[in-house]
Amino acid sequence: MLKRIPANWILLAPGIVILLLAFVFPLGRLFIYSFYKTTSSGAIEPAFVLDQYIKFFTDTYYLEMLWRSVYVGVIVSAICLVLGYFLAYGIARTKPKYRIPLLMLIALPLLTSAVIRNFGWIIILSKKGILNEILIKLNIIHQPMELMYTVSGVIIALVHVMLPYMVLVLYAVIDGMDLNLEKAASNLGANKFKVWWYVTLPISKPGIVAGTLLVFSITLSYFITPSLVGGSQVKLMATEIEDQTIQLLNWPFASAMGVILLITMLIVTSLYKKALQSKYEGANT
Amino acid sequence: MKLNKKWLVFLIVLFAFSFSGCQGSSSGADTSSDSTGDASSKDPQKLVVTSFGGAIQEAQEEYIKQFEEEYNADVEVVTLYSADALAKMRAEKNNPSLDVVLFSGGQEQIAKDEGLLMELDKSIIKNMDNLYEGAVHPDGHSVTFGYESLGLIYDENRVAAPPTSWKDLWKEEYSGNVGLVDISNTYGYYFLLAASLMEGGSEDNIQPGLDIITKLIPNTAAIVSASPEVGNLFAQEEVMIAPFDSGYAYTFAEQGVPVNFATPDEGGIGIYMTANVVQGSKNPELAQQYIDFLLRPEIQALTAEGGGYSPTNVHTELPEKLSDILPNGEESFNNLIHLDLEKVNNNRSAYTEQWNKLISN
Repeated sequence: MLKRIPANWILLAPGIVILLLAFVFPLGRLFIYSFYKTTSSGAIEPAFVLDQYIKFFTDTYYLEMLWRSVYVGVIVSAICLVLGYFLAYGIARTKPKYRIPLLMLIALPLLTSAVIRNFGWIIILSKKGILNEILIKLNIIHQPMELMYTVSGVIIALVHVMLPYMVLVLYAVIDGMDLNLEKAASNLGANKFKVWWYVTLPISKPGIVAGTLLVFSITLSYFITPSLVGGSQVKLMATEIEDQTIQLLNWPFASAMGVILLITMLIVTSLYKKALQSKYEGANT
Repeated sequence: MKLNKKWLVFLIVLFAFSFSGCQGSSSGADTSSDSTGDASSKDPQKLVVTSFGGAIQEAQEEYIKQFEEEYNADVEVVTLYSADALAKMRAEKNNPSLDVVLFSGGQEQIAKDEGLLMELDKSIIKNMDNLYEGAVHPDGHSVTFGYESLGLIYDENRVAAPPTSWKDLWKEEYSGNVGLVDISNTYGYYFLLAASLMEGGSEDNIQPGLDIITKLIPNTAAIVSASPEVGNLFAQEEVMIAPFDSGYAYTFAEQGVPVNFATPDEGGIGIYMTANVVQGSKNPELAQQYIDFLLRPEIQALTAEGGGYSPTNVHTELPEKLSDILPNGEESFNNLIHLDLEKVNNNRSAYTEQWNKLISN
C-alpha cells in the first residue's frame, strides 16, 4: 500500500498538512468573515453581504490608506534595491575571506528584534533626536525636521529593517554567477558600465525579482515599524487591521481589509513581474 | 560555488531567527503566589485576587505579605486588566477561580447586573464606614479603593503658572508643545469626552469635542498611544502640557521627569478603581477581609505610593511628596466628573473612526 504513494508526496505531506492547517484554513476563515455583518452595536453577525467592502471602497479615508501602504511598499523596495545591490555586489566582489564577516555584519541586525531596532530610530528621528541635533549644530537646518510620526520616518526605519533581506537574496545570485562571462564581455571591448548593464544586471534579474517581491510583501504587511515610528497619525493597512481586530473587535471589517491587502499585493507583484519580463526579454536572448 | 551551500544554510538559520525574534517576548508567567508557609497549626486559607500588573502589582504583592500573616492566608495574585477579568468571570460563572477582582473601567456595573458580584457586608468591611460617601457603590456590591483623575500634566520648569482649565491647552504659548493621547488609550478617549462636555456635548455627542480638538491639532507636537510614551515626550522636552492621568503624573515624577498635575476647574474625569467579591467565592469572608485591608488608611497610602492611586478613606494621610502631586481629599473626589461608562463603552467603535480621520495626516 505504502509503495504506491510516490516518495515525493510522502516528503511533501508534512509541509502540506501544516500549510493547510496554519495557512489555507485560516485564510479561508478570513475570507468568509469578510462577508459577515457588523451590527450597529458592534456585534458580529454571520451573513453574506458586501457591507465591509462597500464601506472600504466608498470611504476615501480607507482608499488613501491603501494607496499609502502600496506607496510605502514601492518606495521601500526601490531604496532597498539600490542600496542592497551596491552592498551585495560589493561583498560578492571582495576577497573570499572577507565575504563571510561582511555578510555576518549585514545579517546581524536580523538577530535583534525589530522592536529594538525601531526604538533606536525613535531616538535618532525625534525632534530632539540625534539627527536633528547634529544637523542644527552644523547649521544645515534651523528648525528640527518632523520625522517621527510621518511617512518619511516610517520609510527610513523600514528600509533599515528590510535591507538585510534584500542583500541576502541578491548576494546569493550575484555570487553564483560565472565571472568568466564578465571577463569575456570586457575582452570583447565592453567598458565597465556596459559589462554591468548587458551582462551582470540581466543575470542578477532573478535576485532582483525575488528580493523586491520579498521586501515589498513583508513591508506591506509589516506592523511594528509603522506602529512605533508612525504612531497613530500614519495609518497603514497593517496598523489599521490591528486596530480593527484588537481595539475595536470589528473582525469582519478587519478581514475584508486583509483580503483587500492580499489581492492588492498579488496584483502589484504580478504587474511588476510582467513589466520586468518584457524589459529584459531582448537582453536575455 | 563553494560558498553557496554554506550560505544557504546560513540564510535559512537567519530567517528562522529573525521570525522567531518577531514573536517578541511573550512570557505567560504573570501569576505569582507568595506562599509564606508559616508553620501554624491551621492550614492557611487560599485566596485568589487580581491586580493590574506593573508598579501597582509590585506594591500590592509587597503589602499582601502582611495580610497573609495577619489572617493566616495564602494569597495568589493574578494579573488581569479589567476587561479580561470580566471575561474570565463570565466564563467561570459556575465555578469561579477568582475571589477578589479589581476593576478600573466601570465593569463593576456590568458584572453586578449579570449577577457576578456578591453584596459586601459592612460588618466585615468595617472601613466602608470611613470612606467618602461616593466611594461605596449605591447598591453595595462594590467599593472604590483608589481613584485617578484625568486632568492636565505639565512641565514644571517650562510652564510658569499651573494650568487651570482644559481651555489652557489651546493657548498660544503652548503652540507646538501640546501632547495628545490617541483614542485607543482610555485616557485619550476620556479627554475627547472631556472636551465634548466642555463644549456642551455629551457621552452621546462628541461632535463639539471633535470640532474643538481639530483646532488643537496644529498646536500638537505628537499624538501617542502608549501611556509611557507621554513620559518620554516630557522627558525629551517635546511637549509642555498634555491632558493625562494623575497616577501617571506621579509615576513620571518618580522617574525624574519634571512634571506636575493640575485638575481643571471644569472638574477632572474620574477613573475609579474598585474592589469586588466574585459571586460564588469559596472564601467570601476572607475575600471581604482582604477588601477591608485594602481600605485601611496605611495600606491606601502604600497603594498611592506604588501606583499613584489617590485614597478614598477619610483617615488616610499622604506623605507630602504624594499629596503635592496627587489629587486628594473628599472635595477633590466629589468634584470629579463621573462619566456614563455604559454609553462610553458602547460608542467607542464609532468614535474611534471619527477620531482617526481627524488626526490622520
